[in-house]
Amino acid sequence: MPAEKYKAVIGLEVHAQLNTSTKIFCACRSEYGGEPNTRTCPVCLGLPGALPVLNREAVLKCIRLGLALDCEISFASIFARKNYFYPDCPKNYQISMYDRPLCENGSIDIEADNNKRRIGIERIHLEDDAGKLLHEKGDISNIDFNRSGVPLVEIVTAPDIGSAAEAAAFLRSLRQYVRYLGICDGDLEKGSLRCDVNISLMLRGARELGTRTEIKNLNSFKAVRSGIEFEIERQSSLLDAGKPITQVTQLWDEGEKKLVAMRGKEEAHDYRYFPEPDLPPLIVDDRFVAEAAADMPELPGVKKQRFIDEYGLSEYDAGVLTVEKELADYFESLVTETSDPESSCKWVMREILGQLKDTGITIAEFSLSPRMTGELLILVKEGVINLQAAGAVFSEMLSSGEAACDIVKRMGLEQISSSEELGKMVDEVIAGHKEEVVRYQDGNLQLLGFFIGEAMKMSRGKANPGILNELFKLRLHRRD
Amino acid sequence: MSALTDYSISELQRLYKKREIGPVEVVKAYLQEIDLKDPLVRAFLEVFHESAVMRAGELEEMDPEGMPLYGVPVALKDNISVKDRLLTCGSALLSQYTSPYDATVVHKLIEAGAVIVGKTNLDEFAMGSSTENSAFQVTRNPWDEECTPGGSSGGSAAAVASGMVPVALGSDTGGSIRQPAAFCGITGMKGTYGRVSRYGLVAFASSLDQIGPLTRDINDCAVVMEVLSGHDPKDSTTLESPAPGLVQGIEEGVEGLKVAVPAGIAGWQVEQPIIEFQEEAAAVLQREGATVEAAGLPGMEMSIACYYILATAEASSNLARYDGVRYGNRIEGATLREMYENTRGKGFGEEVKRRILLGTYVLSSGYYDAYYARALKVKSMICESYRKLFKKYDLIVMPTTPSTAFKIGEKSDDPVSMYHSDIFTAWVNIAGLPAVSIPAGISAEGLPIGIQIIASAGEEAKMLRAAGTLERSFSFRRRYLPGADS
Amino acid sequence: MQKRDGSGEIVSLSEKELEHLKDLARIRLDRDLREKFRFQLDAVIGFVAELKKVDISKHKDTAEMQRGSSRLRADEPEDSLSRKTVLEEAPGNNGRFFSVPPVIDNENE
Repeated sequence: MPAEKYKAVIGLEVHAQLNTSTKIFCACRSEYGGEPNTRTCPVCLGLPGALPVLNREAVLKCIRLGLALDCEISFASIFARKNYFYPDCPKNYQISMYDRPLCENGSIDIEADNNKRRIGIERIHLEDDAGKLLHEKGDISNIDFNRSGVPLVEIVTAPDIGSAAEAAAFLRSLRQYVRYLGICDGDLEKGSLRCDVNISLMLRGARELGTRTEIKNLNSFKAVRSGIEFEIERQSSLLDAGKPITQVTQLWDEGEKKLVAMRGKEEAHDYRYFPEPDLPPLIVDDRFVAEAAADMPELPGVKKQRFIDEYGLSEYDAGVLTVEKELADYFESLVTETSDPESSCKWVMREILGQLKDTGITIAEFSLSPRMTGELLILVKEGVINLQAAGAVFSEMLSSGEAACDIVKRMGLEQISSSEELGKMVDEVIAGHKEEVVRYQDGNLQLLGFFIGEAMKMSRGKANPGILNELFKLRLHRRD
Repeated sequence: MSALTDYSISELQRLYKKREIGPVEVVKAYLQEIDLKDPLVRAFLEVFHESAVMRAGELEEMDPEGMPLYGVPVALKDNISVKDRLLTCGSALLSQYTSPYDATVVHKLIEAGAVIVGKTNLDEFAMGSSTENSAFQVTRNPWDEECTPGGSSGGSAAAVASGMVPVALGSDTGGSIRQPAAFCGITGMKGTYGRVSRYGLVAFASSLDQIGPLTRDINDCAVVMEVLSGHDPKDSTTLESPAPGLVQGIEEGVEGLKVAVPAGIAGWQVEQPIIEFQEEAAAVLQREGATVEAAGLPGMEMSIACYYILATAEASSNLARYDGVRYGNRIEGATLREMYENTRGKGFGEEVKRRILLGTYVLSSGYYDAYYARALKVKSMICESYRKLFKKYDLIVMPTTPSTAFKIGEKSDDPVSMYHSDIFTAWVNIAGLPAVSIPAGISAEGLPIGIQIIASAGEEAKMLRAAGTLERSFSFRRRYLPGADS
Repeated sequence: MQKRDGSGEIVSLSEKELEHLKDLARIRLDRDLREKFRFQLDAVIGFVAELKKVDISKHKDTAEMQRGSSRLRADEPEDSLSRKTVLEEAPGNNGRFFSVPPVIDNENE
């Protein structure tokens, strides 16, 4: 296997769109979508004379991510202009942080291939997004500037990643963080999370790094994995054949399942970075950091451990329940309703996750509130319905949206637990099976199950089996 | 000359409040002056005849109280944005561009009761010292039609000097208000960097640009400057400290102020009459109770090189947006790159192209450290040395320009010589200091001479104390414009 | 080729360099202007190269941070411009989008 002969050295540059109400440098709405070119102003359209003013919320959200990933937060960071001509870039420069980013030197712990590793974060900085260039067939490209100026954080890892699986694990973990922090919806397909990859290979044990190539346009976890695997394979074969690796930027073609080199002259980029004169250095003092930290939610690792300690969940269950903050929140609300972590965990793991998987929706889109689900579990716990009936009621709740107790009543699924009512049934069964009664009283005690079954049939499954049991024992004994 | 166009702002306010005159007749009188004189001077790119009279009519229904510029006609350099008006910046590329928003200074002027009467000519994107770099017309110096009015705010300076408006706004990146003010015999001021909002000023060099007034005297200048000043949430580089009161200082005199004048001024190739007025200024201040000392001005010789590196670097980036995609005149090409190159190649004039290329050069990989990074360091050194100098002195008084107005065409093909004429002004922008140029007298050829007063950052009020004292002594308007000063 | 900045370094602007600059800046230069510009820019570059004589080694840069700020904008939306207003100024548009000639090759250099 070439993967063993060579060591892959991988670094990621991930862009995450912050979910602020307004854009990073102007007061236009920044939410996704909208009719093309209806969310622009002099600033985000780069009109003559307009000036950027930094959105405070974007800074807070970037700091929050930095703190969550154990970064140092810079007291003074500086925006710079990255100069390049492209029609989706209205000013023909991007405002980004260059040599003085807001956050530096953090890390994320990941687990891949049964191996726990720490991946370094070199920097996290703020910048503005470009508009969208839509290539039409024929002689024209169209531009929508609604996205222009949406705040982005760029997360740059150290070249610590060694495989496609690790890269995917890192991205998954990062996505978990941004979603927990409530700063980005983490949707790769929509482009709110975008991943670029740098890869080089070196012989195991060698000192010098190989030539680095870049992959862009990886807009799903699958694409990240396949793209990296493809590139490792490609570089390995070249090296095995004694051929040189050339610097190249490639795009992942999901349809063809291959990497395609970007066309064009491989002229070195000259972005002519210089400090943005329209924005003074951003000063982040202790109070500012404290304000960002005050809104910090419980992070995934901490929450998982707490679920194990507080609710007695297994490591596996706690891990699954904390992948998504919304799911963890759902579980905890359910426990509040039922005061029963064990049955709540089982119900979420089996019934609810099963339901989400079958219907392809997220927990946020799930129609039953924790209170509604909780009522159902309480009915089971209090013996009003049995587990078998609970499954049926759950399905009915999902389709009709009715409360559990209403469905139980409407479908008449309450257990019959009244001694008087059950007593009549028991008497009737005893009266109708004289022969079996004699055999029972002669010592064939296994017939008790038969009697209970007969009574259950009579009740159409609603009889409380425990009470039937007691009644039969009592009455068959008295006749003795 | 009609008397209505002779009043100063404070006289106008007094007469308006007494209802002796009204904004409509004043505005009409000025529009008449424009119609009469501008065909010769060619200071205006556009005159808002209708809207100015309409606005004056609206003002007549309002109470002048609390509006320091009530009924005062104001012209704007055409790199300042007015909603639904052309904003050409003197460039062929933007000859048809209409801006959809008001600059912050325009808001402030309107709130203060001013009447915007038109847009004035300028060097394309404010790049130049003669207003010859306009794509549309050459503006004449009202004192000598063969001379330039200076630049880049030459249209604004010529409009005020010829009595077509009492007030015009300009922008000053390396002297573009003060030099034309000096060439045209009027007053021109730039505040401390950040004193006036740049929102709506088309950027040339963002870290140096400041908007400021061009007026006939120092009192008008102070009134307008008070209106323009102040923090603007739309411009992150504006100062947060409140703007100082300026008008009252004018009468305060210079008793006790310490003034530095440049040592060895003759070494800067300054014309003799200018040196004489500089010496007179020093003598006046001394006589009025200031201490005047000769001091070496640090960094002057390196300031021009530093200025042209920083200014062109920023300009190369600021002007990248003029690409024919979102606005402006596009010149088609088969590919996007061809469209870009055609649009910018044809749309920009020579000086703008030269500066963009120079700015691109000093930022480009391999040259950045030797030029741009070094210039930033030098800027920081200059700032530091003036902080030190202003611990010892309150003000610096020196000529605004080494020469009087030069002839049209004289320097247009010699950029280096043109750049040198900014020697006394550009360093002030690098150091971010406030400065005002006031007219001192005229040369034997009959061309005005300006004296410049520079203060420490934030000390505009002190600066105007000296300006008031000097203006009273020079009595420029009474001496050289007989009948102009009532 | 000429020496001109006192440091002994030759900084004459070659045709190739000018070509590179105009490519970076996306400015077409006609042939006659090209020669004139090379000459003029060469002079200007020589002029600004004066700065190399300044001794900056002892200077500590403290000015930069003094103008720092943490005064920022609240995250509150305001009205955008109407699409009609915005597209009216666009030399190429189809009523919904801005339009440009095809982006071919790698324009992003």
